[in-house]
Amino acid sequence: MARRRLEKEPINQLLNKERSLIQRARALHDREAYGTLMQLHHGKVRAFLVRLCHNHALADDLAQDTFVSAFEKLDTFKGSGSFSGWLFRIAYNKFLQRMKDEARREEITMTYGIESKIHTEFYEDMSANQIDLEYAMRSLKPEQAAAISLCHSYGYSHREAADILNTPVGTVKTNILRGRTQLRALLNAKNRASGSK
Amino acid sequence: MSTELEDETLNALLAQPSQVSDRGFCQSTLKLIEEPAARKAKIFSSAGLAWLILVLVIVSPAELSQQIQKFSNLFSSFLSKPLNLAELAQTSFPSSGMELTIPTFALLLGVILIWLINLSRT
Repeated sequence: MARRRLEKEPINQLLNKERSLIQRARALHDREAYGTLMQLHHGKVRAFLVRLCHNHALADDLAQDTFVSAFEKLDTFKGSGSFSGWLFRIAYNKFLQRMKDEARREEITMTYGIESKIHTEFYEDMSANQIDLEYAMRSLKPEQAAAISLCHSYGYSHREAADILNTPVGTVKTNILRGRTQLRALLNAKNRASGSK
Repeated sequence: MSTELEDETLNALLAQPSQVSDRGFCQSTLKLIEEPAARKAKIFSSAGLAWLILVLVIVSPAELSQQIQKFSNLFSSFLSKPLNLAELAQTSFPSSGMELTIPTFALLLGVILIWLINLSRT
């Protein structure tokens, strides 16, 4: 019991800190408070976006759009869900919008290029397994990568992920199942190839 | 030894997403957020300044100082009097307020505009 309380305390402290930062940023348009909030969440949002669009520059572009929009729309954040979930929803919508605008798939290829290489300098530090995983992630459809990232990397429930992605829970589960099968196949192939060398 | 990836291994791998480094991202995004606010402040302050200059051009300095004097008198008398709501409602403020001319009002508007901009910057 005491141990559980100890484990929960830092999370509660973090949530309280986040709540007060949101209030400050919202009520006073305090950019410093928003900057701190951004430092807490930019990593997740950018890593999420790079898994969807397979391009680091584009991911950062979308992430900037996300944080600027979030600041402008801070008054609309009700606080019923998590702040990071709200950010993920904005980020995913930004990504979809970018894809939709003028059949952006081709445009992305022209403007940014789908990168074949993982930019390790984009990350703080990466193990070989994490690099393999990021490569494998690139073979997934964006909706599969999004569902897997939200539920398996960032700890959201299927219901929460469905809310963020604005899809039915069943679709989220299907995307996760198919995505995981594909990931496992790719990572197994990679393991086999490196084992046979 | 099996090379097949276990479910648990995949879960563990997925549960440790790579940490993205900042590399100036937050700084540049904050700049983007500040830009529209700074632009708005510039527009407002230049509008306020233009307004003040216009008022100064239209109104002679003597008249302007007279008006300011009148306003300060009105303001100080309003503050120094004990707060008597009944009296206030009947006479003092509205009738004296009528003495304020449009240039003074415009000048005050300009000052308030510039004050608001400074407030939004802090």
